[in-house]
Amino acid sequence: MLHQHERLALDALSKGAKTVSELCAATQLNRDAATRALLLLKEKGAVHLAEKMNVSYSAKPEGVSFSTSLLPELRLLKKAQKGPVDFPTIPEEEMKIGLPWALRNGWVKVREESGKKSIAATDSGSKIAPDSHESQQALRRAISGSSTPGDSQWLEQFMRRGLVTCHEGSHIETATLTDTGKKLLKDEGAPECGEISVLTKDIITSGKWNGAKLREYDISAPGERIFPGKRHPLRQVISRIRNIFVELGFEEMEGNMIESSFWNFDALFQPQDHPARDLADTFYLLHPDKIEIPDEELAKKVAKAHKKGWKYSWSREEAERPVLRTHTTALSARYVAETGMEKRPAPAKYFSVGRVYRNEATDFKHLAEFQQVEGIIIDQDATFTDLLGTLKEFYRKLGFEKIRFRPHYFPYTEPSLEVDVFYEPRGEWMEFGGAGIFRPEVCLPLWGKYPVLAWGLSLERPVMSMMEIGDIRTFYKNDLGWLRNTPSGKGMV
Amino acid sequence: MALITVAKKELLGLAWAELTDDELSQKITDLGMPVEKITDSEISVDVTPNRPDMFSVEGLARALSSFAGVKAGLRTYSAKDSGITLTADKSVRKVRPFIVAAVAKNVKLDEPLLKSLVALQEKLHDTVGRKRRKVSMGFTDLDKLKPPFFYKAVKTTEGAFIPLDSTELMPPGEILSTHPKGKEYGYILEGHKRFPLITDSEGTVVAMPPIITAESVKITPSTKNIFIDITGTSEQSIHDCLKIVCCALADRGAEIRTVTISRGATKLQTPDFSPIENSVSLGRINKLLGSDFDPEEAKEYLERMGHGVELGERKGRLSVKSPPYRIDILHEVDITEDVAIPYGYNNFAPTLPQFVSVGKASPDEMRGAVISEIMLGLGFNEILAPYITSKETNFIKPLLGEHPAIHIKNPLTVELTMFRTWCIPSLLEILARNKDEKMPQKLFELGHAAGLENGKPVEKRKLAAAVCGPKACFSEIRSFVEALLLELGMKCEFGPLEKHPTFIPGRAAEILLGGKPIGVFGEIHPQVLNNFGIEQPVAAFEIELDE
Repeated sequence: MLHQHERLALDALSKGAKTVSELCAATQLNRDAATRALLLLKEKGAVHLAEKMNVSYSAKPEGVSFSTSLLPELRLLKKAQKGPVDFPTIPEEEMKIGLPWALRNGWVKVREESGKKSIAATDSGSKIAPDSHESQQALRRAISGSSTPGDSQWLEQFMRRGLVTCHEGSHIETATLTDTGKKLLKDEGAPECGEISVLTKDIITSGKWNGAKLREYDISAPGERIFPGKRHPLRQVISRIRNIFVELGFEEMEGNMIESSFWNFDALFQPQDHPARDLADTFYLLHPDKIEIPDEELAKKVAKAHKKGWKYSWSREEAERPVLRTHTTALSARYVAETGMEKRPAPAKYFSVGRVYRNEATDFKHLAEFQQVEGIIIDQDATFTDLLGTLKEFYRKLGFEKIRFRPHYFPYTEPSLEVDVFYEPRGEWMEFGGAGIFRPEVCLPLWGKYPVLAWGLSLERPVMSMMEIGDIRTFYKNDLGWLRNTPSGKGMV
Repeated sequence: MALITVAKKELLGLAWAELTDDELSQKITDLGMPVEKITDSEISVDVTPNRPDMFSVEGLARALSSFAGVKAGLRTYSAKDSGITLTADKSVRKVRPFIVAAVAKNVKLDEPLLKSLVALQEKLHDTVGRKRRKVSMGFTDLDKLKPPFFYKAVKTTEGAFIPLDSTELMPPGEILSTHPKGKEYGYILEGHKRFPLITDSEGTVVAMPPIITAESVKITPSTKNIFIDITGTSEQSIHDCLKIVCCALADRGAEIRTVTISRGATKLQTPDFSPIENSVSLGRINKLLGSDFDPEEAKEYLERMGHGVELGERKGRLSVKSPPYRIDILHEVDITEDVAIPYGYNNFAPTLPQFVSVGKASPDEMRGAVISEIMLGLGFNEILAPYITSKETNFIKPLLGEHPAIHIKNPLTVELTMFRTWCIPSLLEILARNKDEKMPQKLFELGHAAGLENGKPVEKRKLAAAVCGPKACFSEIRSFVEALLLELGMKCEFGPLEKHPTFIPGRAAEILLGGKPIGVFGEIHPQVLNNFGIEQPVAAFEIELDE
């Protein structure tokens, strides 16, 4: 039994060979339906399809940037050709991406002298002209769509590195009826009189269907795929986490991403010369010029805590520099201060899941913009064991029974700890984030009382492992293939 | 974090401990330092920045042997007077005001110690020293020098000497422009007309802080007596670093001698090895930890962290003496942590806070959940876009004139330079990336955009959506907008959208709520589609949710 579309295609082809477009025009089928019908007919031996394979490449953003700036391994080699390059002088991209590939290609070697590592060109590396090397040319050709067969060795490497994507596909040129097809058409003949294919309102209400034959369909024929509206996989996990905190009696915090250094750093007892405040780690903003400290009294108390604890003279100007918050702990600091100003009641429990920013080069493990799961418990009777218990309960509800704590250090908490969670499917411990009790230097200026329990947990990294994603950038790239093919609820434990 | 790699054998030898790899790794982790790698011969530990005393094999060994119970309790260090004076001239006040110094006598400067000393110096420079700006130190051979010493600032053309690893006589100014270390750290002295110099009584140059020491007085494996100088911009930090370095040398059998620093009328003997004293309340410690340790238990744990403990005369108080290198101990809470660490965080019985609280999701998030559900019902796929974008994407490609925005002062790449002012460009970028995926494509995003209003930053919650495919058009997106507003129970009007070059003229509208514009929708202009590299028609809308 032929599908209706197959019949239409056979009929049309009996009048001569056709391209897919011509077939569409002749049968009024859309391109997908016509192609599917032809493939089914081919399986039955009814048509012969002249197919052509085509392979093309397109560059991803990183590939495009390397095509103009030179591949990092070639940039590195170029420097090494002029003499040994000391490790600390190598830019991050050349270190992280360039070095492994330059080593693999046998262009450079690592030398170590009295504990200092440097990179030197190998004999084969010295003979290469980096600017015109074949790998660079292969990348440029891939981008302009003019790849040659000789490029394939490099293009395979670039695909593994995510610099280029390969588009491979077969393409039907023409379809011709075979003898089997002609016979099939003859055997099928015209549709039987009284056989019903598609039910209509008229057929149903008039009773015409009664006694007529309802045509059988080929139920093995593939259906057309439809795509449901779906939530983003990461958002599903965020929703679950938010629900857990609400279930545990926490209130959700709200606040800005554009924040003053004061709330992001100073209120959290981070000295003004702390490396985390470097231009290389934090996004500072051109506008507004400054974000003022809301309370004079508060500014004085924080200044005093810094002067006493870190022994330097605190600068208001530095504290008023606007930043994109580097952690949602900035939000916690505001809530603790508002509790101190009696704008909010104590004891209280708060949480948030929000975006934070780091001025870092992005790669498969690092994002400049990501989410943080934050929580605080403001309670004069709160204890270290309450912190451990709350975290344990949170992870238990998320589906992790086995967790462990390790002592750690953060400038604004003491004691401080890191949480590891045992992820059964992979049989390994995963690092989930940091926690601790805010130091008196934080609590007392903001709240006047002590203590506050606090934590900031990572989101993307563990979800990456749980969803078996190798590249953290996947979450914000929104490849529809990935969004459409990731089952809802994947990544939930 | 500072990654410290040391020889396992040396570490265990100095700690007088016999441990398997697993035990060693576990002990160091339990101390609070992540172990990065352990091989047949070496161990790499990520030492947290609050414990620079553990940046050397000597310091790690000290902490390990206390923690493992081999040698628990307070270590005391003493230093006799060397009789040497160093006079700091007031000329250094502007350029590098503070200096301390010490002498290490009878040092057996074998290969491992030399290596360890240089590594410690480097780690201290990079962390506490903020890349030598705040603290820098030099080691020189005391037997090649004639004390007393002088610290003063000289003109960049005066006081020429042969810097380390060189054969040429150079004045300080030339060292900055030609010597590798001068080029690397010269920025610290930038803008100063006089550079700091340490000389001995005969005018021999010892060092030019924070750049380099002199070749002629460098330490070698045959050096017996070391002169240590530390200069910087923070008096506290240079004292701290001197204690850390001297204790490490003392642990290797060197005899430490003090140097008298004379600055104007004040005279000061460095290093100061007196222990850090704190009187703490065990009651408060137990209350914070949620524990019930008796004084003997607390004493045992603190001793395993290298503290000395005397049970106070006053009931419930402990008098704690911490070794001079524990510069992280500020007050009671730091002592509290050192009770908890040896007890083991995983040995505490977890509890939950006792007070009653009512959970509450943020109203914005609850509203967002309702909106998401409507968009999902309309068949849209949710996406999550980054908020940091470029002028190119936010303004230029959508043919929009530039308006006030939140720009980043220190962008790392041209792609990340500003906070987006609207969301449709993010959707267009994503559609362009997915042009080979099956059509039609329907995307929505619940996200933020930000702008400047009267010089103040304003963050806004937004809903944006786009349809892309052969049939995408104004009437389709209009139907979606109408369905959404109906579901939300919002009575809005549509007005013509003038002068918005992102959309096709006459195929775009403004959404008005009580006469106030809250959003836009329409068909994207083909020039914009070309700019983004989209090959199919796109219609989109964007609505502010705060209204």
